[in-house]
Amino acid sequence: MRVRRSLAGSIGTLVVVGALVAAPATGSTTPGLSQTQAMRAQLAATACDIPTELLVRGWRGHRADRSGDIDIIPQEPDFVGTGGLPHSGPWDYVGQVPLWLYGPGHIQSRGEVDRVVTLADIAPTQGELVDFPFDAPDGAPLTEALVPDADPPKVVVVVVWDGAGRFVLDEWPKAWPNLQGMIDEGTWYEEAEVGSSPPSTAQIHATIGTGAFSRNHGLVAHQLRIGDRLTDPWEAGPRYLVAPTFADLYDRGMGNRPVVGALATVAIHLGMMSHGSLWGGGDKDIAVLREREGAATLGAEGLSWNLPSTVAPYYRMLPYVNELPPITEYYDDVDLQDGRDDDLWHSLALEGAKAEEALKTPARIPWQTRLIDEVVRREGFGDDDMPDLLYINYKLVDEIGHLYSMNAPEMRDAVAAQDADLPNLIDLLDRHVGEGEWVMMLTADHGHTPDPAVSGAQAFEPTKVAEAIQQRFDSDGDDVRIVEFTQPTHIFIDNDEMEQNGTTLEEISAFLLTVTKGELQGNQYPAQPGVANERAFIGAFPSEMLDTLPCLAGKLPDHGSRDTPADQG
Amino acid sequence: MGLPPHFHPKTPFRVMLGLAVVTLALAACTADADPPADAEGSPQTSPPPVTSTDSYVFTDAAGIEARITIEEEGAVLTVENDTGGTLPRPGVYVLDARDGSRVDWSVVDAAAAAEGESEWQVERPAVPEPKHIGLVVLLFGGEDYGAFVPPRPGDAA
Repeated sequence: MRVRRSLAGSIGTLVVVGALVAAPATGSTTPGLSQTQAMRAQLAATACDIPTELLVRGWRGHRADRSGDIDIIPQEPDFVGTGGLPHSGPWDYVGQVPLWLYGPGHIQSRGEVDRVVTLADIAPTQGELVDFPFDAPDGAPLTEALVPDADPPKVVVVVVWDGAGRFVLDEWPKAWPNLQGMIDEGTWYEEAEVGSSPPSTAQIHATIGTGAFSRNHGLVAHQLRIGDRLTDPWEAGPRYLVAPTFADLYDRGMGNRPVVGALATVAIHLGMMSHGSLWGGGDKDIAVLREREGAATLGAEGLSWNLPSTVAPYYRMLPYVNELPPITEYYDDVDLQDGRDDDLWHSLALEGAKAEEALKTPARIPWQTRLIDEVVRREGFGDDDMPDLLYINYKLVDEIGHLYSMNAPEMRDAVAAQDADLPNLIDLLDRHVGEGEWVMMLTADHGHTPDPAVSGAQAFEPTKVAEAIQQRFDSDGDDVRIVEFTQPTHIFIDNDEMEQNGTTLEEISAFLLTVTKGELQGNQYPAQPGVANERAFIGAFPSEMLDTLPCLAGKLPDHGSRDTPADQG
Repeated sequence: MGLPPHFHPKTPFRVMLGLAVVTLALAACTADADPPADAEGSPQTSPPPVTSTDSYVFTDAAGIEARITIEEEGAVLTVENDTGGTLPRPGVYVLDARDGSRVDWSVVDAAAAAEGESEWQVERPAVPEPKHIGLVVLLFGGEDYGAFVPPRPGDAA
């Protein structure tokens, strides 16, 4: 893991902030400034010691009406999270992703391109490909990848290897020979990143679809605020996605004649495609998912392909996909993946394994590709000259990252299985659409967090972050808590309760800068030796301060606008 | 969102669409010059895709039910507030279905919504026409609560 800058400046500022926390509630250490103003100045100074690109990603991902109230940034590689490893934060290891454009006759065989691009560039690039320019709020067409004056392809396919960020791929460099071998046949963006933080599935898929970051499309994280309520981004179907997707405009603009479909897993993937028929004049685009109805977590999968009731009114499910061979038919592929013909995949006994367990193995990839083959053929993708849009999410790599970590041998198998399937996907497109008639844009929506045993990270337990705040500030004796919810990157605060306890976001933020790693250590991961007395966070500040941080001035022209920071390319 | 989509006739496919652009642009000179009318009016297209509802509903688990009914001029916003508290003053904006551009509508004399039902007149500009509405989005206190949806069959009028 890389630490980009010396933290000497941060530590000096932390000392000052710590002194402000300990100071009496009235008065100020700086003449002419109130206590709160002085605290804000110091919090801003501390934040500005954090590498600018991390702050920029946070700014792009923040909305005052929907995001958390306090930003927290641990020192890389430390992170806040428990349960399955999170993949949420502003760091490169979760934000850098592959981005490969391929399509003979349409995409240049440039190989590697070295400039920073983001996933907001995908939607406007689709627009260029099909001659339907899309003015993306935060993206621009990747024109150097496009063959000038080429006819539009019959199908543009966006493929997301969920969770397969660059650090995951680079951890297993021998596991993806097919993609590596084809890089020079297309255009590969070596410095592609998702562009905003936190980078979780819902919001980044929405960035792919809208060409906008969370700030503009509205889906800020897997928990967001709607009024006084915390909820999830697809609780109400596509209603909280408040920016048009490319497919919304293109499909409607073409009289709903293009075939538009998403073959994915859960509803939070649909932001890469469309609002479906919720968009005025739009039709019900194809959506094939496997989301467990009423599940407690956003990634909960069922065994049958379906459309959950939250999205069913706006999209069209294809019932015949459930008549295809079951996932257990693909166990033979999995058995051999670990190098042994023994009816085991690592420790999982495949013989008699339940189908639920198969979802956690590479069997799900050829199973899904078989479905894609059937749908592309039967729904007529590429059957005429009207360009169609196909969106695919493969979720195995993400699943394995949460279950085992990106460093586990199971991840090697997952990446290898994903890569081994790539020629099959290309082949089916060649067969059904035609060679030279389609374009693929392959990427990932985020990376994964390394196993703390490998990275040396200290993992902070979200409940301990909340409890530290509760114990320090919540003394009014009622049942209402100041802390509503703690995410890896944000803390949601009940502002009424905070005020009743006579404190402020600034005071809580300043306090968080004094909390030590030892205080937040959980039980799931071992404590790193010798760090218990170090401060846990290098940045903690009211989230709205992102709009006014002096170190972002000039780099985010019209702060709050759609402009791209000068240093981000 | 900015400029509307347009075509660059370079191939038979594009030439065909380009001709459609010219034809319909001429036809639309005295009309509302809707951005992608070219594609919507293409001879290959069945009836242009338009929004067919004049009423949208909004429900929220917090206890908010709202409805916006579009009239010949303006609209009417009703809010049933069962949240147990007062809601900040409402606002409404729409996204144009053709190019995604945001257009703010004006809630006349908008004020905080006490518990129970409140109703406001809403002023809306001529563009987009109701048939070109992509999303209608509800605000309270400037905060974005998400989109209304067309009523489903069986919803109370």
